[in-house]
Amino acid sequence: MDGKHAKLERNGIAFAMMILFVASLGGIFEIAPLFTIENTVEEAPGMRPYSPLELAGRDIYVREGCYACHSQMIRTLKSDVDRYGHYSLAAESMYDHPHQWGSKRTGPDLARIGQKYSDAWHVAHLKAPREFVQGSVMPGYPFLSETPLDTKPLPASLRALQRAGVPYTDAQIEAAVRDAAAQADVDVDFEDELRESYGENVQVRDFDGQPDRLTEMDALVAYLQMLGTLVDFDQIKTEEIAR
Amino acid sequence: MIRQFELVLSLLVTLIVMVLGIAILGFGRGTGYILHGWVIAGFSAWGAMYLVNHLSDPAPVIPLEYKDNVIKWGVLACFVWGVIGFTVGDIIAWQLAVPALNGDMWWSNFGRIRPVHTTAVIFGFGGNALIATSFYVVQRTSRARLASETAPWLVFAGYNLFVFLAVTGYPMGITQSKEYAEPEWYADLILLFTWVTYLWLYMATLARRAEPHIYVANWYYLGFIVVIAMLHVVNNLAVPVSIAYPKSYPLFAGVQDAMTQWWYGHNAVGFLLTAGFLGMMYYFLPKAAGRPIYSYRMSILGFWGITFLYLWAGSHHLHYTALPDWVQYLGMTMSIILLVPSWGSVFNGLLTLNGAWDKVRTDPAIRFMMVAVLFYGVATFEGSFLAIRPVNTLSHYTDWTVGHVHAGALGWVAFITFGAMYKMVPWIWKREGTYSLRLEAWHFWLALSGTLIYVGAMWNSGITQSLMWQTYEPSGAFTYAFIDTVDAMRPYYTARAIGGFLYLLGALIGAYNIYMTVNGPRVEAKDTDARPLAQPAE
Amino acid sequence: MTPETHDAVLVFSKTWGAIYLFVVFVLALIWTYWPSRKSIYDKAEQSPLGDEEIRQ
Repeated sequence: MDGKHAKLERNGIAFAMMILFVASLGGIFEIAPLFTIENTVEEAPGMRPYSPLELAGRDIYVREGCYACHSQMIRTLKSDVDRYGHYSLAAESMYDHPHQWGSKRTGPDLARIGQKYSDAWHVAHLKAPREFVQGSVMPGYPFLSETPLDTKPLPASLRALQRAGVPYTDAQIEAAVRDAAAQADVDVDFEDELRESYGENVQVRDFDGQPDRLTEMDALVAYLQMLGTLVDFDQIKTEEIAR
Repeated sequence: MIRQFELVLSLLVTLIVMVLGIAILGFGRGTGYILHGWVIAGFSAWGAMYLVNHLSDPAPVIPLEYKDNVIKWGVLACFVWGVIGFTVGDIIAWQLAVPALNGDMWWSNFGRIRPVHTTAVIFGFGGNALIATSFYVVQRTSRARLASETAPWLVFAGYNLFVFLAVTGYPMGITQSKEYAEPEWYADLILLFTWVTYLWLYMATLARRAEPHIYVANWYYLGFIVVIAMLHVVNNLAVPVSIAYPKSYPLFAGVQDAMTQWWYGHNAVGFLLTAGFLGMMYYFLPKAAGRPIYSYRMSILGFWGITFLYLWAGSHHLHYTALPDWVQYLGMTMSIILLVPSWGSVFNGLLTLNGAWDKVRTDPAIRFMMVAVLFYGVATFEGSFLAIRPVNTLSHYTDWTVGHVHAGALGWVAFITFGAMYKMVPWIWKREGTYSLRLEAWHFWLALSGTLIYVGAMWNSGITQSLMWQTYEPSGAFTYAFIDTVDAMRPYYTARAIGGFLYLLGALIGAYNIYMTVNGPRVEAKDTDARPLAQPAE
Repeated sequence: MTPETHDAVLVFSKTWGAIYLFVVFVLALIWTYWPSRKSIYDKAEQSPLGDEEIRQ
C-alpha cells in the first residue's frame, strides 16, 4: 500500500486524476440526480416559454445586472411568503436559462412582481426611482425608454433556447420579430396569432406609454409584468407540490 | 524537436483564437462586441507573429536558473487589477450610500459595475497572484526551471486577456449573469485554452523536479488548477445565439442551473480563494518564518478533506428554495464538517509561527500572513455557521453574506497575498528587502482597520435588515415596509464605503512600496534568491 | 424518466455518497499516518527552508 501511494504521488498525472476523481463526486452525487427528477420540477398548469418580447425584456434584466440586488425566489419561510406571495415552485423557473434566483435582496424579491403595479408606475419608477419611493437606492434607467428594442436577434435567441431544451416551435421562432412587435401593440394586426401561439395569459398592450414605438422599456416592463403570474395556484393542490 | 512541436502547438492555439477574434469583428454586431473582436484578433495576431518569427531560430540556450521574468509581470498585473478592483468596489459601495452616484447612464449603474469589481478582484488580483506565486513555488520546491519557455507567457497573456474582456464587457452589457462566471462564451473559450496550458505547464514542471516528493504547497495549487478547470467547463456550458452576438443561453435551466451555479460559485471560493491561497500559505509562511510547517501530515489530510468536502457544500446557498430538501440538508451537513479541515489549516498555520512570534512583531509581511490565517479561521467558522438552515434564514439575501465574503476576501485572500508579495518581490528582483517597512506597516494597519470597519458594518446591517424583514405587528401585519429596511441601511453603507476606502488607500501605499522596491538597488550577491533568513526583519 | 428511476438514483446517491466519503477519509488518514511515510514528510517539510539551488 505504501509503495503504491508513494508512486502515485510521484506521478503527477495520476495525482491530478485522483484530485479530479475525488472532487467530481460531490457534484455527481448532488447534481446528477436533479436531472432525473420529475418531482423537482412539478407539473404546473399555466407554465409556458417566454414570449419573444418577454424574453427580450429578460435579456435586458440580465444585461443590467438586476439580479445583483433582486432575487426571484420566494423561500418557504413564513416571512417570505407573507411579504411576496406563494413560495416559488421549481416549475416556475423551468424555462429560465439562466436562473435569476439571485443571492441578495438590496431591493425586494421580484418573483411575483407581475401585475402588482401599473405599467405607468413601472416606467416612471424605472426612470427615476427616488421620485416614487423616497429613500430608494436603486439606479435610474431613463435610457430604456429612449432605446429602440433591437428585435433582430430574437429568432436566433429562440433557436438557441430551443437547442437548450425550451419547447419553442419552428413557427414561433420564425414569427419572433413580428410577435415581439405585436405584444407591445405596435403591430396590432397579429395579436390573435400571438395569443394562439403562446397562450391566453400573454399580456398584450403598449407597456412604455409610447404606443408608436417599440423600446427596451416595453420589453422590460412586459417581462416584469408577467413574473410570477403564469402558474394558476387555484388549480394545484399544495400537498401535491409539498416537498 | 520538442521545442519545435511546442512552438507549433502554441502557434496553432494562438491562430484559433485569432480566427475567433476575426470572426467576431467581422460578423459581430454591437460596439462592445466588435471592440472585443479587435482586441482578441490584434492580441493573438501579435502573439502569432512573435511565434512565427522565432519558429526558425536555433534553440536558445536555456540558462540553469529559475524563470522569473513572467512572475514579475504577474506581480504587476496582480497589483494593477487589485487597485482597479478595490477602486471600483469602493465606487459601488458609495453608490449604495449615495444613489445619485449611479449617474443613471447605461454603463454606470451598480448592476453593470458590480461584476467589474468582483471579476477584477477575484480573477484579476487573486488569479494573477496565484499564477505568479505558483510559478515561483513550483520551481523552487521542484528545484527545476519551468518546463517551457513559451507556455508561461501564453498562460499570463491569455489569462489577462480573459480578465480584460470580462471587465470591459460588463459595462457594455456583455454578461451571462451567473455570479463570478459572468463572462460570455468567447471569453470562456479563451480561458479554457489558457487553463489547459496552465495545467500542462504545471504538471510538466512537476515532472522535471529533482525531488522525489511533491511539496504540499503544489498539491493545493494543483487542486486549484484541476478543480477550477472542471467547474469552469461545467458551469459555462451554453448555447451561443450566433457569432453575431456575444449573448448565449446556459444549457441548464431553473433548479439544475441554480445548483450548478452554486456548486461552481461555492467552489470558486473553495479552490481559487481557498485551496490556491493555502498553497501560497504553505510555502511563504514557513519560509518567511524560517520554520517548517507545524504538522506536514495535517496539511496533507487537510488537502484531501477540502478536496472531497468542498464540492458538496454549494447547496447551502439555496436553503429553503425550490431545490429539493435533501440536497439542502446534504449541503448543510457537509458545510459543517468542512470546518474540521479548515481549522486544521488555521492551527497548522498559527503553530508554524510558534517560536517566531518576535517576527510577527517586527516584520509586517509576517504579520499580514498571521492575520490572514486568523481571518481564514473566522471566515470558515462563519461559513459553516451560516450554512446551518435556521441561521441562514437570518443571514441569506442580506449584507451579512457580503460581510462574510469580504472577511474572506479582504482578510484572508488579500492579506496572505500582500504578505507573500512583500517577501517574493525582493527575492525575484534580487533586492535586499522591501523599500520601506514603515510603509508596509502603514499598509497593514490601514488594511486591517478597513476590513474590520467593513465587516463590522455588514454584520450590523445584515442582521438589522433581516430582523426588520421578519418583524410582525400583533395584528399579523409587517411592522416595516421594505423601503424602511433600506432606509435603515444608510449609516452602514456609508461606514462600509469608508472602510473600503481605507483598504484601497492601504493597497495604494502597498503598490507604491512594491514599485519603489523594484526601482531600488540590486543586491550584489548572486544567490539572494535562496536567503530568506537573511531578510532584514526590521 | 420515471419517479422510480429518480428514487433509485436518490438512494444510490445518499448511501454511496456517505460510504464514499467515509472510505476516502479513512484511506487518506491511513495513508497520511502510515509510519514508514514519516521520513518522507520529515524531509519534505524542510523543502522551502533549504538553499533552493536550481538543479535542472
